[in-house]
Amino acid sequence: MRKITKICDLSTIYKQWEENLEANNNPHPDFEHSTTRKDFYQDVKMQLLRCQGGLCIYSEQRLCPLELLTDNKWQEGKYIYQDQDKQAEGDVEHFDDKLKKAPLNKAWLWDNLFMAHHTINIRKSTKSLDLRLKPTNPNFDPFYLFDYDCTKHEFRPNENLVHIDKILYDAVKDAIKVLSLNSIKWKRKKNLICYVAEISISKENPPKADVYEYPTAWEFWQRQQNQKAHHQSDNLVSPDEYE
Amino acid sequence: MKISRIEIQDFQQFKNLNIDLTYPQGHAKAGQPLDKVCIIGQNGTGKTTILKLIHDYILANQSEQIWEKYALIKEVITESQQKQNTIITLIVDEYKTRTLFSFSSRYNFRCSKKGFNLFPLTKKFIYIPTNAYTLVTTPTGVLNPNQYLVEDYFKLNDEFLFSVKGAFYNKTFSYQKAFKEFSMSVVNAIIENPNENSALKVQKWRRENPNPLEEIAYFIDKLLAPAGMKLKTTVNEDKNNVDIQFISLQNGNAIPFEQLSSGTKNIFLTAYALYQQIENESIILIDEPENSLYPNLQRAIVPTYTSLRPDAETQFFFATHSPVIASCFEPWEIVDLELDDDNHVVRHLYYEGENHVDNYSFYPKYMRWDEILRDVFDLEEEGGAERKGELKKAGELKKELDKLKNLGHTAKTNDEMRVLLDEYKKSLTRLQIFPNQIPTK
Repeated sequence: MRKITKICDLSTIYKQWEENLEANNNPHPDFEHSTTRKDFYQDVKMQLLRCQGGLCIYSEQRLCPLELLTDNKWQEGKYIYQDQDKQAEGDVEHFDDKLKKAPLNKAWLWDNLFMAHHTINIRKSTKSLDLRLKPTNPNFDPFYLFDYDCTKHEFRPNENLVHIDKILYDAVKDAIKVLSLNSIKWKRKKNLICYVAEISISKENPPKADVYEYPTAWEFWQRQQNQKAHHQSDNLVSPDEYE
Repeated sequence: MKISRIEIQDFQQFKNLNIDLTYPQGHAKAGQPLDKVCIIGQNGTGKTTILKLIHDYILANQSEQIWEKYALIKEVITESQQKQNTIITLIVDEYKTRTLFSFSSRYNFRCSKKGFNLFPLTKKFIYIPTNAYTLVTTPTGVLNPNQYLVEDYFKLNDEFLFSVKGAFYNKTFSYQKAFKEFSMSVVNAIIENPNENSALKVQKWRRENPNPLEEIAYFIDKLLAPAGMKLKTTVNEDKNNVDIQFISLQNGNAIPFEQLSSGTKNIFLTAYALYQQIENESIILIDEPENSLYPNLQRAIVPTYTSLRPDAETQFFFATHSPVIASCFEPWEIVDLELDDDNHVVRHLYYEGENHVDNYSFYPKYMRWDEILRDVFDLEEEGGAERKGELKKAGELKKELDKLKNLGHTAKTNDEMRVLLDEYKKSLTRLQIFPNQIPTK
């Protein structure tokens, strides 16, 4: 899970409709309402994917290739639907499930919507996560909330949180379980291996890899490698110390 | 009274095997017989044979028809090996060395009368053979009734299961009945005196009258938890429908015994048999306890079974092929059997020089699983031939890629690198390793 900023800059027809509903304090239509769904679901989905870089908001698996997220796919506030666009996977997910239904009736609230992998959306089902884990929250920092086991390629709650905020620690632990973030650890490891392989033969300086999925795990991995390297250099005995 | 040494001469695959079963020097129990022993070794090195020998000779020693029993062993030896000068010795301590029997080429079978009273008649031993449950329920049967004294092995068969069900029913039914009677007395007391502190009374009664099944569950649930269930501590009061039931930890649903997997049935009946049978001065022999069990359950069984040890004179023997089971033992508790150049079974010692705790070079309890496989179970390679080949391939691809990288940017080298990089990535992901983990040689 990484921090994102959500800007609804292309799906303007939907955004105007949603803002009108909110300004007039009108209840939203049901999320399954067929006409509303037909009008806006695809636009919301593609706009969210654009904000999320085409990745699942929770697992960071790729849901669609980057070429489907370019500006030229949009015309007059609507996404131009083409056959090839079926490649975009995932479900529109309600971060706070309570907003989806009565009495709150805010099923189409932009702020509450994210794109998630279908399997994760099913697993999350009607469960809601702690609001502090919302990736658009100004204070959201995955490197403060999570830890990453580079041997098992599993996410863990940051152990430091136990002493600072036990409720938040349990919320992170619960989110990892609810979202089954570690059920795809082998896929994640495979990608990280490929990134390291790319870096090892990269001609660029500093070397770069095409990080197509799992950017948070990759960042954790890099940080830990840098820490290790730093630690090793600290342990080297300088010639001065010999003297 | 525990076994401190086993000496076997000219019997089956054993030429001259001497197994010291005492704690090494430097240990708090130095010189005393081991509390638990783990026998490991290649197939055919005699792990099961040793368990059977211990079982049969103790049994023969206790039997009133001792000559008949020995005659049976004699027949087996005669038919199977025709060895000369077979001598098998079980030693209970260094001052009471007893040769239980010896056997010469002229079939002049004789038994050391001094050995008769080595193990008292009250000595309890429990032998649970490999797949005890599945073996006895297989219609064709795998155990050979002519081999050794198999009729005395512990049988976790339908008859045993029936007896367990009966025991569960009787114990719990009596408890439930007593609790009902007590509850009625509490209700009556409240009617007579509304200020009566009934909660304290119930607590006290429960403390003084524990549910017998809860005591069993405390022991057995440790083994059932990894399989996602626990023992149900109440029984159906219908005497015609007596069954042992389990509760799913996932959804709380009841699971009847018959619906358990063969591994879970086996572990439940083995654990219950031990729980029920074990008593002071027992010798417990368990062959391949890991069968049909997932590794996390294998990890639980040795500490759970040995936690039943009622006194210092009880001794456990396990024979296993499992590195997970072996990791539950100190190095001096492991009897590692191997074949020497003449195909005779010898014990591979884990220490050099004097048998002292400081002279042991590795401790399975603290080792990684792959290290146990390599150092204890002699699996020298870190993987199969396919892994070895793939590691070589990844190393060669890396060299090629480094060479092209040093040539600098050209369209040709870039294209070549792209193709090689794809192959390199596939190779690394098959191996599940990062580039820096490719061996340099």
